[in-house]
Amino acid sequence: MSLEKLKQEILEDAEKTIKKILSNAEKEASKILAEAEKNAELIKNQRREEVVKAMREKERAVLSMAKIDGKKLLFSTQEELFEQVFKEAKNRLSKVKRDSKYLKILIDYIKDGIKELESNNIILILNKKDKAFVKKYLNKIVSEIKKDNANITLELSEESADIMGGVILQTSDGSKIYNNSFDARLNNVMDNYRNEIMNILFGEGK
Amino acid sequence: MVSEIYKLVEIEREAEERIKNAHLEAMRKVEEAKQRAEEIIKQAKNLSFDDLIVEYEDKIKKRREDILSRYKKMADEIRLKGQKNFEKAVDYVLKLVMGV
Repeated sequence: MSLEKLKQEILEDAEKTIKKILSNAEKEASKILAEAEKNAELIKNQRREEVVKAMREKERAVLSMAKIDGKKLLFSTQEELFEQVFKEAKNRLSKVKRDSKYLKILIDYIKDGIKELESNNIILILNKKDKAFVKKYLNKIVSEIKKDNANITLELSEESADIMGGVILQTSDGSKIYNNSFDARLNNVMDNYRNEIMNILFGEGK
Repeated sequence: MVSEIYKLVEIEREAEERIKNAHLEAMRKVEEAKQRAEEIIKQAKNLSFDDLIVEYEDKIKKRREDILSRYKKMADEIRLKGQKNFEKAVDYVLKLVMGV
């Protein structure tokens, strides 16, 4: 082999090796980048899913709170009107005229109280205004009460109560009290007839 | 003859040097690819989803307002109904209290 041809061969072999080295490097670099792009896409998708999941959870929480706030608003609106009914009833009870109708109411209240207390000796406690009114009609009241029970004795307490109307009954030995005042009866009605009152205010077809 | 052999050795050295440089070039290319790959992953990790978040926030806000507005309307209707039946309710309470 001539020297020239030998030189040529050395240079060609070297060139081939260089090409192969660079080509392999290119392939490896491309593979690294492709792998990175693929992983990056997975990371992006995963992060997007996390963001979407977090936002959906936030949405559920916010909307759930909005519904609770809405229900609170409905409840407070109903409560406000219920409270207004109580106030208006209280206002009207405080202005009830002391007339024959009221006298009949008082007699009925006293009869109820006597039944509850199961005693023949009763003290009646009234507000200041009603003490004067009852004194005026005491004979009538006593005769009405005695129609049901002739052995009953009624006594007017010297003390007066801070009530709108009605009567508080007490056994003469002080062992039992029955509060049949407007105040107690109103509270009792508002507590025990809540559903009925609500139904009148807001019920279907009303 | 000696000088020709000497030239041949020179050519061999030159070829080896070029191959060595090719290896260095190859290593540089791979190293660059690795750095670029790290950059791509880092960008993916730091990618902001602000637009998506803003879009969701707007949607949530609107739905919340819709719900509250619906309940507000219902509360107004309840109030009107209650006001309409107010007298009946007061009369009912007074009847029960006074027992007449």
